[in-house]
Amino acid sequence: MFKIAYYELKKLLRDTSWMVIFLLQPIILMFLLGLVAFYEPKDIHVGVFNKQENESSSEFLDEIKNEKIFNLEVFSKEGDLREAIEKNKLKSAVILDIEKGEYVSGSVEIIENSTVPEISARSKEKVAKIFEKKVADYARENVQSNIDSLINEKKSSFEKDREKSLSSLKDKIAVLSLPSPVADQLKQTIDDVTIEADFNSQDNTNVPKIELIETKNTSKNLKYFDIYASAIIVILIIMIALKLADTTITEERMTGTFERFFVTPYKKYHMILGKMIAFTAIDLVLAAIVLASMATLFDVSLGAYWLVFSIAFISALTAASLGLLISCVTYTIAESIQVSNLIFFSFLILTGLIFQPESMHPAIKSISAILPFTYLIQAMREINLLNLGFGEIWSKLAIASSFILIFLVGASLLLKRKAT
Amino acid sequence: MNKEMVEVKDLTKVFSAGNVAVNSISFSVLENQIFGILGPNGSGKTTTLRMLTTILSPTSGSVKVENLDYLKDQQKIRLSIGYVPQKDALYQNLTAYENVDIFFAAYPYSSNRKDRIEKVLKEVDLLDVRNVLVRRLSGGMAKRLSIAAAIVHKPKVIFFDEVTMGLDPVARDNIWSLVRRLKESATVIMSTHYMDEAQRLCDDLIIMAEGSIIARGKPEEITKEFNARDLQEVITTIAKEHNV
Repeated sequence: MFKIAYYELKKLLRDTSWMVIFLLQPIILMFLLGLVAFYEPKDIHVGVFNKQENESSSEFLDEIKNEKIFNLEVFSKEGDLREAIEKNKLKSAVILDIEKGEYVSGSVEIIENSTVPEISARSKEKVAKIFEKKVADYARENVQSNIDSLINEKKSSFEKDREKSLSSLKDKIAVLSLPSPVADQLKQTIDDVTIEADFNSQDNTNVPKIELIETKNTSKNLKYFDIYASAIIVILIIMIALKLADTTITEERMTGTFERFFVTPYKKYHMILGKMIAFTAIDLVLAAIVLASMATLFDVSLGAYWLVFSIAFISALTAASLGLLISCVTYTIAESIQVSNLIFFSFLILTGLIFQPESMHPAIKSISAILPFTYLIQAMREINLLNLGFGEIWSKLAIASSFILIFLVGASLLLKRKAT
Repeated sequence: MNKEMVEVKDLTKVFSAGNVAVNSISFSVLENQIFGILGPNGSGKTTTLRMLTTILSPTSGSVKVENLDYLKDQQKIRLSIGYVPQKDALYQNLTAYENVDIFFAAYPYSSNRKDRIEKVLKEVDLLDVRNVLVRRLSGGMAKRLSIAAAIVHKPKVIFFDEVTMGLDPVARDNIWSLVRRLKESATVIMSTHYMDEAQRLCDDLIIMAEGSIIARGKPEEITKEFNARDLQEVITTIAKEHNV
């Protein structure tokens, strides 16, 4: 078995073109992925049309203009704006229809571009946030204005009533025929009377507000690429390790070495484990290359190195064992590649990288929940983004590792001595 | 009288589609014989060879190699047989020495393995190229190396599957000499398309058509039986009769 592993490794290392591709592949892909997710999305081309020219709508427009992620184009006609978004010339469009009468009212229409849903949703989210904030401000302003006018109304009615009461009091004193000095003293006293009414405190009435506080569940200062990097590390390693193994036995069938192999006393598991040992050595290098590229090229936020390396290595081994299984149950190289591609892309879809589990059909969600790569991506994210430790992710690693065993046993059981 | 090394009784192979590849054939092969399995394309000779080498399981019938039963003693049979497949079946990125070594590692061997590998490479005249990668060897050399990988563990029965196919006359001649030498220490069972090869090498042979044995005997006996000039004419007659 070790002889098979030794020579398998030798075969691979002697294949110069294979070696070059193997070493460069992760670096090139990392480089590309890192560059395409280099910045937080910015310069999103958004069109705006302001229906009502007033103080409030201008304020709103200024807020949108101040958003750095937008490359704003202000339209003078609503029709032009609608045509531009319909013809895919804008990533999204905003129509402001804010009236400023006694109160601020109206609408803000956000039109998404269906061809670029993610970027469109991002701009919609930004506009919506501005909208929420302004709407809250306007609402408070409206309520405040209501309260102020009510207070003023009460105040003036109270003043009128007081004036009326005092003058009637003065009239009553007059009819009492009091001695002149006394009457004068009383009138003076009435004039001096001030009725304490705490309108001042009511003048200062402020409508309380609820503030939206947004924070993250990590103290790390994450870059945009960091959010994707963890999943990319796992996916890239899986892809390369899977491709390394998915035709290995098929090639032996094609060249005839497979047939010769099984006329000797070698057992099926000798071939499987021999190859797996060789792939383990290669996978160690693969995990190291991928992580080193991530750390050096893009300064990706990584958790404890030994844990990150362990997850990367387990990902590679899981993929290699899956590749071996595929190679055991397929009989031509074309067949192996097709099956491997199908499985890889299915995993990619199901791991929650592109589509979140929350959007999945319950049946698919259950499948996603039992896939080893889902756990590996989750573990990598938790280590790198949330700084969690081994205690929190060990169960995920144990599940993924058990799949290595399942795939290898499956490969040994399903490997037929049949040649092509 | 030489002892029986291989005994085949009512051997049948029916594939899943219902295609009868080998139909109840029986024969035996004596020690130190070169035994030929001949026949036109699709006659069942490769399927027969695959069953004898434990690659394929028979549907029914029995195979005994050195009195070991195919079903009960498969692993023991593998220890005492060698197989030279039609394709070279070698690892292109390994050297001649390494190719022999990887297959030899499957067998128990008490003496020095390196010496044994070098000895067998010398026997097939490849010692000088032992450190050369297989992809750099000629077709004839690769075939000799394929034989070396099959005989390194000193098998008692060696199976050759159309071993000279695609080789030039000189390379074929070298292989024939090698097969003759091997006969001194082992029993050789070979399938071939080349009738001149069978005529020159085989002590005994069977001719198969449509999964059955049509003729059995020494080459000259068969030629006589079919009233033909040589085995080529016999095969041509059989092919016409069976419309293949």
